[in-house]
Amino acid sequence: MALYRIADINVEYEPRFDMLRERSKKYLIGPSDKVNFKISIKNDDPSKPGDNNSGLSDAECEYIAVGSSFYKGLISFNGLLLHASAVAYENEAYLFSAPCGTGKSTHTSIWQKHFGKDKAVIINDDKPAIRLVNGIPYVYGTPFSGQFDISENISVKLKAITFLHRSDINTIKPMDGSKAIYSFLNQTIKPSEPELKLKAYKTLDTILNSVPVFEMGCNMDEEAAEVAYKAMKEGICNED
Amino acid sequence: MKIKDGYKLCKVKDSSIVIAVDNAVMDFNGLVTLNSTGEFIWSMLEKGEMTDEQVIEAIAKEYNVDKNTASADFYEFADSLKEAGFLE
Repeated sequence: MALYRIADINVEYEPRFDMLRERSKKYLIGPSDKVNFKISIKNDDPSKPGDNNSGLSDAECEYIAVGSSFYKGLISFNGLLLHASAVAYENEAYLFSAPCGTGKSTHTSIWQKHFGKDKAVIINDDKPAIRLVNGIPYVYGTPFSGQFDISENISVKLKAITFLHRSDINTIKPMDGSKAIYSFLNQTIKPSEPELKLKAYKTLDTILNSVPVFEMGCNMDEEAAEVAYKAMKEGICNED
Repeated sequence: MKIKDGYKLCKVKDSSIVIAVDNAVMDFNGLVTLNSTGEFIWSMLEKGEMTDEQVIEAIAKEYNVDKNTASADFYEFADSLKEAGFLE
């Protein structure tokens, strides 16, 4: 079995296909007596997504299945997945979440264009892990980052979260508390097990009490990065 | 009146969210959040040891309103709990 250290958690699994093996490589660690949890990959897993979706290859199914097992396991370690593109800038992490196709990745690529690729680093382009370290939320790269393998094995302190929607002009404002909860829950996995569920809500409570949440209408102009940064870094919004 | 055992209130930031912690109860779609008054009443209905009359008295005392107002508010809230399936 291979051992990986993802989001500072020692996870054991044995990839059968190159896709998962290659993308997990950066996280490989030597043998350790400490295994936090194991993910078993079954040949004939009846729950594999491929059964319902003939468009996916076995390798993609394995990648997705191990990813969702990881994110479910993460909850026990005071962590949560947020479906988002995460960018690190000045040693702080900025998360942009939205439903598929809204332009999360496009927005963080605008940050790279605006602030420079060497300064604005994508931590994970689609599924960053948020984990509480001594009660403080950090954002981690993982091997699971959506269609393109854009992720770094780094952890950066979370600065703020913004939920995006498309708009002709760039507007940003603080998001109301209950709307933030609802938006976050819509972009994460919700376990059905009672203990995990309570744990997930506790982690969410800490995250939302630690960092500000915004909602932003954004276009694809470079100005979008500046508008988002001003609000998330300095609290200056252009809308109430 | 008693809240079903499978439901619990969970504090997230400034909201109290009703969550299903028991697989025996239906996991409802969407999110139910309570304000502080709702939370106050919920906590009394959770144990199921108080009569309606006692709950109404407690509301009247806590919020400094007359019994009729407290009673109307209580039954309105109870109706929405019943509708959502949170009551035994």
